[in-house]
Amino acid sequence: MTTVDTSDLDFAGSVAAVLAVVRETAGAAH
Amino acid sequence: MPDPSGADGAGRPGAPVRVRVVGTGLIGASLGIALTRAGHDVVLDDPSPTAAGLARDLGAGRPATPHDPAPDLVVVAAPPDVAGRVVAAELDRWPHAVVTDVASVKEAVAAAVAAAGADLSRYVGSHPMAGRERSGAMAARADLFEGRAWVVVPGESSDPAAIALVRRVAEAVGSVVTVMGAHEHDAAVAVVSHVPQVAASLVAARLREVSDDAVALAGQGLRDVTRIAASDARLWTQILAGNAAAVRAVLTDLRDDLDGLLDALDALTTTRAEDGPAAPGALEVVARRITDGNTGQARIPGKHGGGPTSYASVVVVVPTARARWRRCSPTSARRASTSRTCASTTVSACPSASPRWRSCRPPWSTCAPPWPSAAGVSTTDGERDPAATGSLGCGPVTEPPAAPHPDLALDGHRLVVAIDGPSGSGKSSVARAVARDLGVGFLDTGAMYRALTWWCLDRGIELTDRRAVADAALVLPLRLATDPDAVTVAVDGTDVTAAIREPRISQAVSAVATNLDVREILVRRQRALVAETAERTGGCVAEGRDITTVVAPDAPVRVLLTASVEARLARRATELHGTADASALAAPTTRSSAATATTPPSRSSSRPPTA
Repeated sequence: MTTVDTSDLDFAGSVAAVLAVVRETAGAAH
Repeated sequence: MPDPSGADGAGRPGAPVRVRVVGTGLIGASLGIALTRAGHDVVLDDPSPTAAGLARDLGAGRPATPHDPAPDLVVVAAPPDVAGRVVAAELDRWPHAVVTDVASVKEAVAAAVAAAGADLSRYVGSHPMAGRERSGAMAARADLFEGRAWVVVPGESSDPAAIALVRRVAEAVGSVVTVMGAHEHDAAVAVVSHVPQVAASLVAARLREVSDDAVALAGQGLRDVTRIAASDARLWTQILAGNAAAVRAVLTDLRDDLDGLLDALDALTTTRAEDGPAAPGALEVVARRITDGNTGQARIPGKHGGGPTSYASVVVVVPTARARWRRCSPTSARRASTSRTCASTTVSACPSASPRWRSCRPPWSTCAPPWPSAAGVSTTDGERDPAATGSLGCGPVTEPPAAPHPDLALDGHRLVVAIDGPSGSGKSSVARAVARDLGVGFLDTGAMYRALTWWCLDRGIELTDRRAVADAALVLPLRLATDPDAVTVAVDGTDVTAAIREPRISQAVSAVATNLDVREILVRRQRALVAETAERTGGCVAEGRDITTVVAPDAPVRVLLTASVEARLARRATELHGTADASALAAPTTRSSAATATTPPSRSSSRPPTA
């Protein structure tokens, strides 16, 4: 589980943050 | 009759059902195998002991004996022309069992059951839209029903508990249930199934008298059009006879189209080249037949109920080792020639089903510069990533869907991203945007609770009646669109996308969402939807209040979105009032009290508090 605090992020930043988590998690799985 | 509330276990979600399958052909044997693997107790009966024994050997259950306990459900998998009589006999033999049939036509079967004077409250017709051009138990497959539509056709007298049990069994084998009336069903299958069979047979029949040289020219188009012409003649004669009126109506329209086309071709045939342009209007008629076909073809949903399929050509270079296939026997060489024939070939790929084909954008691993960790990202232990800068290197997230990197398949499994978070954390809008960017499906599990709430209110079901609401959840005729660009929710054919967001639903959904029986039922449906969406679109981004902890705790990617109370209040105020100034913040905005909770109290402690 990865926590993303969006308090200081706008919408685009929140989306990008989640996408970064996806990328990192998928990369770690390999 | 089995009580779906669980009083006797048969209808309780997760409890095994005693199923008696009458008829062990393709459908009966496949159903037996699937139900047995799902942990249900299956007894097989067939006029032929050999057929029943063969189905047993294939893992479809055990042959019936005189000492078997009474079944909860009887599934009659008999041919359409005898299904009604068999259903009536089973209703008479098992006075407490629910009986369904899986015949391809429903009005004729229901009429036969009624004519026999049977107890119609325990009869629910059904029709799994699954089959093969092969018949018999040897063609049976455990996954025959997975992701396929299963039409449940209750009669006016059908007991809701009986409907719920049939629905439960259909879903247990992976089907997606649709509820229809018998007449509506028969008219629909005439167009989508029965007439296509006739057309395929008629086209294939034209091949009987052409020369071998002509047949040798056949390509994939002819194979596509005539594949089902190999179907069983006896079965299809029964089906067409059982649905004669509906099939005739469609064929009459088809004949009119053919007559118009023949007239146009006649006009073109008699026009001489020296007379100038072809007969006025004739070419338009011909073109119209083709474009009308384009329009109709575009409406065909993708496999397993997915979106319409479109194709693009993609050049694939096959490794040399594969090319050795060509040096095998003549048979294998022919087989290879239909798929991957040589070192470089062109195959059809489906952009809609595999969005990764949709874009030539470089995979993330080659994105330059690589994305830095975004601001606000922390690991499970809550530590903020010290490298976080907030700078994002790959452009705006509003770009067209990206091409997911093949690595996102995660060791062969489909990418599932589960996004959880409290109200106002932005999980819904963020999840949709993430799905759009990844080019995969999107699932809002909260919409299911809202849709059920809407349906209960629409049907006058008291939300405090927990059992009645749970029963409604079992039979909820829900259809969720998973395209992140067109998220729609339909209940029993009614588009409720906007209606489920109305204040009356927001205020009432808590009573439904905190019903533990409802949660158990809907969680099962949500898991199936996540799996089906991931299979169909290459992945799934699912969001909901318990998605990471209950629905998809094993999702490869789990994200908990949080935000400060102030940020969430401001977002909710902006959403509801268009501004986040002092007056808007003073108005009631976030849903925080126990009365509007959407998770059961027992699970609330595991998540961040709402504002």
